[in-house]
Amino acid sequence: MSKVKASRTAVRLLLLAAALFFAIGGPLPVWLKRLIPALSPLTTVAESIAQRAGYAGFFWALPPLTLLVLAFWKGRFFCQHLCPLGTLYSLPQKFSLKKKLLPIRLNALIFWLVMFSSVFGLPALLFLDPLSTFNRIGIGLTWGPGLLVPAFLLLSFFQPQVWCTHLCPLGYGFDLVHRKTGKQVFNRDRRQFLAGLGIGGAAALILPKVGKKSANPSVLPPGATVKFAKTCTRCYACVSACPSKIIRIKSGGGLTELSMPELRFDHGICEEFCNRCSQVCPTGAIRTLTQSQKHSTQIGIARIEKEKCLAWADNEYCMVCDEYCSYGAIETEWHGEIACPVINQKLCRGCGGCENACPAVRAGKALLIHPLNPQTTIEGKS
Amino acid sequence: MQKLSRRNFVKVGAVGTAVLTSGSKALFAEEKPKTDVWVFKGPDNRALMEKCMETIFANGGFGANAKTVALKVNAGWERTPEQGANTHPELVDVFLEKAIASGVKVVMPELPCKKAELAFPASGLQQVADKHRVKMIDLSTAKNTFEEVEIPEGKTLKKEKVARDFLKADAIVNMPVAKHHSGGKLTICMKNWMGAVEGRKMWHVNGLHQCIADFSSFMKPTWAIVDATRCMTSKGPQGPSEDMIYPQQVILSKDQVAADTVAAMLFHSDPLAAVNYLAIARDMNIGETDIKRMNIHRITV
Ligand code: SF4
Ligand code: SF4
Repeated sequence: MSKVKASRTAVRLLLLAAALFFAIGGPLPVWLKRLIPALSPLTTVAESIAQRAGYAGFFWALPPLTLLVLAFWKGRFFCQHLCPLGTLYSLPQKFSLKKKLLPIRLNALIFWLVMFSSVFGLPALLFLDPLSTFNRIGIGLTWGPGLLVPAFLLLSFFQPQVWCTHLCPLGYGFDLVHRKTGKQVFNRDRRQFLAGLGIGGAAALILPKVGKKSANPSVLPPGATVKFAKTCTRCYACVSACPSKIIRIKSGGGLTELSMPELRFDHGICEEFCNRCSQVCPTGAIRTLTQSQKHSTQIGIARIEKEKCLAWADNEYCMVCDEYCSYGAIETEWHGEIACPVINQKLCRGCGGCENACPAVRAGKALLIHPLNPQTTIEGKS
Repeated sequence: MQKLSRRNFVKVGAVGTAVLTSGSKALFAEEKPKTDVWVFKGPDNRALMEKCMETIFANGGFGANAKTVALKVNAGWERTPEQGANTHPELVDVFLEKAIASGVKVVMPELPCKKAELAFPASGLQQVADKHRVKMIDLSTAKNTFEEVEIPEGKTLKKEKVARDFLKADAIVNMPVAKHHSGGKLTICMKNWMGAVEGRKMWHVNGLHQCIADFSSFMKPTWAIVDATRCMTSKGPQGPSEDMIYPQQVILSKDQVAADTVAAMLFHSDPLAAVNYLAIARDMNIGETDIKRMNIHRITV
């Protein structure tokens, strides 16, 4: 191995380690969790088209734009030297059997499908973005999109870097903007362009109608937009950022909601003075909220099922829900000696404090949070 | 071993009470010495607490051979000291300073309602504990922390798992803030023990007030110190409350029921009518609830 090559490999491995470090996060500043998935020009461009908004802002648009400019001069420079997923998939190269499992390249099709479906408002397949994919490692192995990395790592033992050469839409995008090869590449893949246009358009229209709407609609992280399910790339930066570990991966639901993050309050609550998830979302599916904006955001409303409630149904001195409500949203209705809880819908934030703490066991918890979509804010009171 | 001795102590106490109550009521009133309660009042929290500590050491301290003291504060909520959801850190600061200077080792176990890493620093108590190199133990995550005890006098609560740190200690100090409470009406000393047990959720299911009284028949502190410097009279126990009062008092007694009764008078003119567990404590004879049978020393600092 030449010296240059060795030092290049060393740099790639270092970048991979750094990316892993950011994705996992730990004690680092929370916005670093956003860095890896937000670096992708594919995500930034497709999401901006889908949401008809420059949601990223100058600061977060700059890195992906820089990568695009770099690609204009150097083509796949990012793939060859920087991409943590590329480096990861290149690790088995030496041991690869060099079989051709996938004979044709589909990267153009995927790329155009993402782009055109975005034009219709739903960036379909954007969860395949390599940097969002890589970022999922941050929460460990999960089903669904979490299995992509191990699957392609395994495939790389048969066909070296099959993902990068044959499938990756981001890599294809770099080929396209390269000033030398761009035109050629576009012409070569004209058929996939047309297919992408057709399938992408159809996907954006049909996907939202596929699959059963789940019986329990999901409570979403504070700052989530109405297009959350469609625009989230499942990078799970929010899942890993949440100190309460209440952002979980949904099972069931319609196709657009597949494996999306949702809030569950069985083991924690959305903390009063936390806005971490809203600081890390690279797609604009969750908008950035300041501490005080978050404090006045209603993500849901608690509802009491009186027949399960210790106070209402069993005449017990309870009011644990009130105890745990940080917003004074539980009011007291006196029934003789017994204080019974009533939700003040104007003050409830849907934080799950009451649901989490409710000690009722006879028929299960007496409080459940019902999502608000769109989320609302409490003006003047916080 | 400590646990056993405490249990024996409780049993002896129970027998003693039984003998007394079986005797004539008049005799009882005459013979039983009045319960001492000290009420320190003044604008400066540190000065209040210094006076309180002086009084403690003038009245037996933590016991002749006490080496370890387990201090039960309120540090359960992510609220600032001014909001009155947790024991005031200035009072705890002075307590730790004077207690440690007297030669005992202090630990501060607490089962927080919010996550400890949010509540302990917000309350200011983590900082005070660190300053004195005192261990603040988060009972919600510490492993193997609880040990089952029997509650001989308990009517509903006959067994409970109690944090070992309290059972092991030579002396226990109960040092809550007095505040409004939605389910318990008020939470002061007796209810504070819910932050020392594993099964607190079930107390609500099984009858909160009876469980509070039952457990207080078992868990009797060497000293009860009530922070009544600023108190929420609504929206407790977490707040924030718009209805704050500022009695600027620290209430001290060896009898936590007496301390609760006196503190409760800051909120209600007839505490026993307002706070169910106090009435139960009277009926079960767990401690003194009759102001007339207390020796209340009012000290302006
Ligand atoms: S704001 Fe709520 S949901 Fe978001 S990271 Fe914080 S605790 Fe988790
Ligand atoms: S969800 Fe429950 S605890 Fe949270 S604000 Fe609403 S009533 Fe209060």
